[in-house]
Amino acid sequence: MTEWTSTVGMRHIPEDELHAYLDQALSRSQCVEIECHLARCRHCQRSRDEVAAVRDRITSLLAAASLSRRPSAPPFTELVARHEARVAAARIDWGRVARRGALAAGLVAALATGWLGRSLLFPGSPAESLAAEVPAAPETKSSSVTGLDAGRQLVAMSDVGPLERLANEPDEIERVLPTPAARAEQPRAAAVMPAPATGTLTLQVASFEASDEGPGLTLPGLSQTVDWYQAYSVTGGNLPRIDGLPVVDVQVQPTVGDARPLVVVAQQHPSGRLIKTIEGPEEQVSALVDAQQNAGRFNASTATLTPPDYLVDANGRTRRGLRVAMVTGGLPADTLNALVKTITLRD
Amino acid sequence: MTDELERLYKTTYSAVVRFLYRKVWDADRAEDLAQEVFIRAMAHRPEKPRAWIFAVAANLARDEARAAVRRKKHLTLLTNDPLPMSTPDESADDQLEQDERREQVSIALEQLTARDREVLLLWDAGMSYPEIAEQTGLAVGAIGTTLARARKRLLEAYDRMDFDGRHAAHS
Repeated sequence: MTEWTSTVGMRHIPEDELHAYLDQALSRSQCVEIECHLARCRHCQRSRDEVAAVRDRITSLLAAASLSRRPSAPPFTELVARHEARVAAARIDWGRVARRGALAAGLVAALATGWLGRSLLFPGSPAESLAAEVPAAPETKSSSVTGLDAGRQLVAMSDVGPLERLANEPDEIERVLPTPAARAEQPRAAAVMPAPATGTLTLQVASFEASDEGPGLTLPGLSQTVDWYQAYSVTGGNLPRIDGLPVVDVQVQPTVGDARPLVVVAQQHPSGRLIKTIEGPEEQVSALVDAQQNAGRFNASTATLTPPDYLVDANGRTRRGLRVAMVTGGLPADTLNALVKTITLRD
Repeated sequence: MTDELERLYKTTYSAVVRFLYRKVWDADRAEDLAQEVFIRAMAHRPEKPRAWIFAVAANLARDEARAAVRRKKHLTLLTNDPLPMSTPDESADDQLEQDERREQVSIALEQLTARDREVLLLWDAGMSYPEIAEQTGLAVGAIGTTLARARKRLLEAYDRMDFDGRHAAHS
């Protein structure tokens, strides 16, 4: 215990020790010492009463600054279920993704072989001139493919990598991104394998560029177009969309670290135009939309908050990563602002 | 571990919500964050779950405050939204008075230093001096001094506002 102050020849208990005493934060021997002193010192008795009054008032004030209702704790089992769902969602079956990519690549190879054979047999055929327009596929781990898998379409899969790395490698972006000419050919390639209609939520083979929307939103390079259920798994069930509008395309781009991927869901507005809902880490969504807005490609809504990422840094400290959703498209900003308020994130 | 966490959940959930509420001033958000803290505890399995839970709650609340600042860049205020209509009655007056008091206490709390406020709120959440010391990095012996100062300053700030409010009402 610290040395007590002395006035008029008698030591008194410091105020902070009275606080600690009333907070029951002192050892038994310290309490005995203080109680012995209090029994014979009226000055310290008054001080103790004052500190006790301060404590009571603080308790009362903090109680006033509490919730106006009693916290309603959900059953612990509900939290356990949420934890388990999160763990399951975090286990992305990349092996399945790779197998699908390999299957699709095989189909493309078979098509290309037939195409080449036809061009050799019939020189000058439309197939040859079409091949001449399409640039060579970029040298990536799994090149851009078109395919069909179990009634769902895996339209295109490119190499996947962090956005930051891409930002520093403009040449690589240019190489990986399909050129406008290649994009223009995509609907023709898709037409080779028409998709069976399996419901509004199932990805339909359609290119954004096949519409009158212009070049539209372009993810900077390494994104993958996936089917709805795959995207649902990768994003842990957080798939932003506007209910009632047919989904045309879902693109997912992995983010750095533990953050959920950036997602772009394209839907057809009743006006016939495509709108795209972008959901992801705030910085990436802002950067993406700003860059493309500056290019005068489309309007964008205001941002609305979506469930954050919970990230663990190198020191093991947790922090929340802000995520937002925005709706973009060739519609007036007011229309997009109205649409952004109707975004549904989970079923 | 899960049993221990479940016991802790049952005994401290309200305290964690209260602790968070005094930082984010939004009851629903405080409950969301409190549940998030316990879900994260299941994944991390901390050795000292009680101290860990309050430490993570403090971090989440801090991040929430930072996010709120950044959010202003993006979100537009919807000033045209109609306000819910209510008829004034006695309970509404009580509610108004309660809200005013809560507002005053929140403002008074904001006038404390971050460390004083943290120590005070952790104490109010039922944490012991050694637990508060471990979380804040202060010496155990300094907690009493910090609490004494924080309590005094909170009362001074609150009384000053209360006095100003009454003075303004009578002038």
